[in-house]
Amino acid sequence: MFENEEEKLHDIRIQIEQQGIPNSRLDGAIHQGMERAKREQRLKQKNRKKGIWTLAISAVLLITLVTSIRVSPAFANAVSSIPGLEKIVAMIQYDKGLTAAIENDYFIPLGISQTRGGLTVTIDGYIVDQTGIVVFHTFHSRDELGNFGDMYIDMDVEGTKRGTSVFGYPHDENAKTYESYSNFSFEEASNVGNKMARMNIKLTHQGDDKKFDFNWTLPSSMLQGEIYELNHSVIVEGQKMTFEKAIIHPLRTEILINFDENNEMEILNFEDMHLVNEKGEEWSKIMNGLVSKKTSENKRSYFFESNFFEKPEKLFIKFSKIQALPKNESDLVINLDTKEIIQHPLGYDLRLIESSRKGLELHLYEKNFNYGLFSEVIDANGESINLESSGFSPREEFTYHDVIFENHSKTPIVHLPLVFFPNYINGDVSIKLK
Amino acid sequence: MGELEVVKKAIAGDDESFLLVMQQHKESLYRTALAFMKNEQDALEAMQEITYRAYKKIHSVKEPAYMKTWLIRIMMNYCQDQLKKRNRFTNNELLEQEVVTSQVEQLELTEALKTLSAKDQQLVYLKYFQGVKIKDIAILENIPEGTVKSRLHKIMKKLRQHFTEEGGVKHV
Repeated sequence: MFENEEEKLHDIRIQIEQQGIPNSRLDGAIHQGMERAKREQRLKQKNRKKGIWTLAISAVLLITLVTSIRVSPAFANAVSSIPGLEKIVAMIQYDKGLTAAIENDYFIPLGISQTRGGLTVTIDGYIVDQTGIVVFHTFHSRDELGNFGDMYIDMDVEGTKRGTSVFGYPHDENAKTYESYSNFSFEEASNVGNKMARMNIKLTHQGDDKKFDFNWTLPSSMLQGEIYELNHSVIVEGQKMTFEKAIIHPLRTEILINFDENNEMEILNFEDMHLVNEKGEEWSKIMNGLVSKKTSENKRSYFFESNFFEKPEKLFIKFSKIQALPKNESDLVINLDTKEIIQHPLGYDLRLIESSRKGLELHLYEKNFNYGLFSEVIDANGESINLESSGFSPREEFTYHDVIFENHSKTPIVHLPLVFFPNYINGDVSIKLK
Repeated sequence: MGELEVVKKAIAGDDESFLLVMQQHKESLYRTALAFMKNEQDALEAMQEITYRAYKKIHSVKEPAYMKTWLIRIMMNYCQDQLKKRNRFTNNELLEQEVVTSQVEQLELTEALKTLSAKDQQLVYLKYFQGVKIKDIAILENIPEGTVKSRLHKIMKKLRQHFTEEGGVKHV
């Protein structure tokens, strides 16, 4: 019917097909396009990773971004006698345990520096106990700091198994100085007296990869944590949990809880658990850093600000609200290939926005729920997938969650055990610690 | 490893497989770019841009069997956007240079194609230049085969009209 037109179209097709192909330039174009996309992807991932890095898979971290720090005049006065300590004190204002450690001369000044091409890193000092080490450092650049690229700070203390590390990135890329601290916890409490501490920092500064290595020896004696055997069981909405013991270390207080295996619900997070003394003074959960970790199938450790130095006469553990989910709904199950949520807590609006064998993005329609939902991804073979990064950010109507795997998932189905979720059980509980 | 396996791996995010897929379709993609952009330099630039876009979006490909058409579609969209942008700036001199290099009759058709909507241009391109079957176009567009046929029919009618009216070029 339209033979004439079709013939003409065919002629054009032949003409186009007869033209030569600039093969090597074509390959060059493909290469450049791919590199550009990869570069952009790396940048994106780095931005997402800011301020958080997890090594321990079963650990739960909570990062609160502190934008302004207020120091009470009395407190500022008390520390002004120690030169150079003000800025450090300001940084840890919101952690009563760390603050008390400094007030009690538990901070060890170091002042060692290294310079690499216009960037100087100084280790100002540290606080150490048997559970971890908090290192204070200052980055000073001749020119602007920039964003440090894929910065990585690694801490290795002789005789300990590496646990979790938390460190921050410069929030003002145009500034020349960035003062911060890194918080490292050991996998298990161990005696690190006289041991060698090694800190490696890798970063990109003004287009160059730079490495810094610091070594120093830890002091011979260290304050020991105080152990309180509790063995106190409570039942909240039918869920039995036994508070086995509490250990008050200088840097953190650890509470070990055993959850009855016959419980119908998986206990996720004690929303308002805190420690309180006889005068009503409170110590809360760690705000920046490790908040809890699974120690075995039904056991978890929770971490609180330390009151090691305050030595309260009486101490109680209190809570009223617990995040919990029915055990058969406490794993999010996702098919990465078909982009479907196979299992999720009933009655909640959870939407899978994107997924591939390399990661996924979720929206949870719940206002004011500022927690990351998961910290671990397990494939269908039961193997834990190494995570390159995971993050969350609150939006107006929902919270955004994403996770990127280091390698591709071998199976389309993955399980994500939920560690935080806005489903609650309630009951007023008070347990005497001492 | 089969072709489809490679495509699946590419969709899953494997860099090496992605490169293989691009290598496999580079000729078709380049010729598509050439058909729209009309010169090597622009076509190469389009190739780079399309590699970049494909790499970012490949995870969203649902049907591995249609990888090639998916790529060609991104290429066409890009080229049409570029041409639209460029039209605002092109001066007549450039247009005349193009005229010299093309044969007159084909130029008429090319000009006639330009009068079609972007969507119709893509349809013509897929059907007549890439030889994609009507059945596959229907699946891709998620419309019945009959609709594809009637759209093509309308397009052909338009093209014929263009030729029967005198001097198609003037109408552009």
